[in-house]
Amino acid sequence: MPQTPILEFQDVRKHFGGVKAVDGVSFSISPAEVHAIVGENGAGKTTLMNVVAGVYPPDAGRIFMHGEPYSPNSPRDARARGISIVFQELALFPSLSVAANIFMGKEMMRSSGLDHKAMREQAQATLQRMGVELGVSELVADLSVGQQQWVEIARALTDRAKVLILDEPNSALNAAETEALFESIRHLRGEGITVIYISHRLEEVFQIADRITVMRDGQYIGTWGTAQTNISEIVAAMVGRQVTKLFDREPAPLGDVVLEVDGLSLDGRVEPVSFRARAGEVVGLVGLAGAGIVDLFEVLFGIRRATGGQVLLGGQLIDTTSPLKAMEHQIAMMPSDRRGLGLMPNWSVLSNITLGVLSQLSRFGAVNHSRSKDLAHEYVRQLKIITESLDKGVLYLSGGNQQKVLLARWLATQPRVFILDDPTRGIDVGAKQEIYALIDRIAADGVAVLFTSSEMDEILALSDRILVLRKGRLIAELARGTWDKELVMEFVAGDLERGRAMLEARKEL
Amino acid sequence: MTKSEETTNVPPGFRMLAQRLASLSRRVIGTQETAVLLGLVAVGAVFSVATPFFLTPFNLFQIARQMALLGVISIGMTFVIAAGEIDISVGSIYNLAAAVMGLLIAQGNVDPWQASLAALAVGLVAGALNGSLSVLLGLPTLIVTLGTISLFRGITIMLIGGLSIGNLPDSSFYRLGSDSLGPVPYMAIIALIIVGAAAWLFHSSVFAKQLLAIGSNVEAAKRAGVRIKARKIQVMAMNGLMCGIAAAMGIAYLRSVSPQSGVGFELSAIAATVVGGTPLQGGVGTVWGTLVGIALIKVIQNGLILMGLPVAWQVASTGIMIIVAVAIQQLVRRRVAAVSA
Repeated sequence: MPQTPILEFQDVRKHFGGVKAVDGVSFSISPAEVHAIVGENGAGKTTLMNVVAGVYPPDAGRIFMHGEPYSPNSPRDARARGISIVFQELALFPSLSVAANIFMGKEMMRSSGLDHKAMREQAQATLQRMGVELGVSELVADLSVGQQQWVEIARALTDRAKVLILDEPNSALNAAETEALFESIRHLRGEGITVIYISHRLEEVFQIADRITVMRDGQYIGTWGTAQTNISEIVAAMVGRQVTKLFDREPAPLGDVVLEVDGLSLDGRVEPVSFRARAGEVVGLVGLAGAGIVDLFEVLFGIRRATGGQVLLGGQLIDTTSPLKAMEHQIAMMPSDRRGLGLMPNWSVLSNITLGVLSQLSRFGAVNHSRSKDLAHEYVRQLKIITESLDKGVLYLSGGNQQKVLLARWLATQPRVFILDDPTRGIDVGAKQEIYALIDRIAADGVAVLFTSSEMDEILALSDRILVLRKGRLIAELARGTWDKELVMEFVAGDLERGRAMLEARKEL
Repeated sequence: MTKSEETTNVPPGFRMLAQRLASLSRRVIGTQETAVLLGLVAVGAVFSVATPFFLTPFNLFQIARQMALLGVISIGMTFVIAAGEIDISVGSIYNLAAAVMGLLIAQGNVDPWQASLAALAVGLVAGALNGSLSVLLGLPTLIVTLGTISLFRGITIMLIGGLSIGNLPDSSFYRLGSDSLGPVPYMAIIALIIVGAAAWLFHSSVFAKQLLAIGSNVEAAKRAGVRIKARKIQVMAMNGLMCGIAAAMGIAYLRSVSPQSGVGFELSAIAATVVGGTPLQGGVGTVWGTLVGIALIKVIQNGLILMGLPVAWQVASTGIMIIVAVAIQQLVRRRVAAVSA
């Protein structure tokens, strides 16, 4: 690149205590390009971006922006220089409107106070620049996660950002929303904005990025032009070992029908849905956001009440009007938001694991400490949870290990039906493989597994049967061997008739 | 931007030793509890030098008696705060329970031993009311108890008017307040038994663990099968019961009932809990820490009185302690968050 890089890193280092989060990174990012930074959890990419965004200063090394030394004192400073970051964890105000959120902290004024009209118009214009349709007066609390992400990006754009850093932007977006995001990114690139894109989702990275930088263990591994490389090569660079296939499952022998869902509905979200799951079967549910999959899960687990239909477990009608009741029927559910809905953040590994089975570990209401320890120890061993000790705060663990802790909690309840909502979200490649292997084992133990994922490849690789939901309706049920990605995509987001035709054609082969 | 160069000038051996000591002391009791315990010892040392009367057995057991009342209430508060809730009506519950018990003794001619059961019952019901209102109306306990402070006091005034109930007829009951088993006051023994039982409950019972789950992450607790509503009502009821027990103990000690009693109890109870190491948001906690917190508060109050300092200092000291304790907690949390990010 003959031009001056917009950002240049020279031997940048950042450590936290004894942990070298960024360990001597040197590379550069060109103006008006989409530059992806990929790496496993703990590779240092988010830390590096935090340094760029002014969240904390580097311990060593230098950064240049347009050839000038760049050392922001705060995120505000960084934004003033034109660098804005949109974090994975959204920091919005749910009770305020889209426009209010976009202009929070930088409100437009007129003589008599806040200029709401101008802010609404400006917000509308920014969203249009992104190619997004969203009501600027809608409350953020009423938006989907994907839409909330739009608001965050719009917020960054109104700062006249020259460099937009997106940290795992599409981990909460479905296929259609992701494509719309990419359209916006391409549009912004056309306007001369540099987009730095941090992600685990390599397929999408290959769709959008011009160049890809790989980090591993805090170090810079290399930068590739997207057109000159392929996913396997990048994964190998990320992981340090060759990974060719997503996962090879060994389908377990199927037992009896364990779960029977009969006309289950949730007003406005789930039309009457009926399906069955057998012991040892992994049923993958796939659909766009709003398809009703998570709503269905929440109804099965008692978080929401069904407005119609019934659920049978082992042939018997069961009451799932609360999570406790669902647990009593040996149904387990792992939510996708492990930090918000799963883990107790200030608790230890041991306490988090044993939470679901406290009564089983106790007599007359008193918990038996040594039995708790043994149980936790057993699961740490079996799931290969990496932690200094059982008493270590669970927040100190990596994302993958945190997920395993949650998994342990639920496995300890010895479920017959295990519902998994995006079990590999925000987890590095190596840990994902471990989770796949665990799902395989769980099925082999005779559990009926229902799961969904934001990465379709996972559903394709792990499922014995795929259920496609669209706008709350179950529109297709595919048995093993009848699907490929194109077919499923057709059902999920394309033309239903074409999908059916394709399926028929396959069956005749 | 090369701060790391400064730290690397410290010889590595020394740094390792410092880190080992820090983690050892952290593991022994826990940063905050150790700090408070050391603080208590330090304050005690200062006072014993400043006033010779401080370290006398008489004075120390006096402190112990005062700790007993506040201690029982603070223990209840610890459970409530650990669950992420709060109860600022504890003083009023105490007052009401004492008033009912006093009325029964003075006008109902009920034996104090039996009347004390009424105090417990009133406390339990008042606490359960707090919890039920919160659950049924969907209001935070802060708001509900803000209302019941006045509600309970109002009921007390309706029952006993504005005058104290004094000169209660003699009974063996009042020996609990005035006598000792050997050198140790009965009040202190009773309180210690309750604290011990509560500590065991806090660290080993399913009930307490579920409360802590609610305080830590209520959504996740719900999804782990914890019955949020039931536990909320139960912990508030338990807290009320503690206030009832304290009311009975207060009457045993004072042999009278005042319509103004209990004012400011919530401040001390919350201070003891928070200073002792249970953060205001809940999720984690310690009963023994609360005990140390109470000791610190009462020792400081006692010392200030002995030194002849104005009453205002006592009230201010409690407030200052809360601020310092919460500030330390926040610093610790921020360091933890930085490392785990």
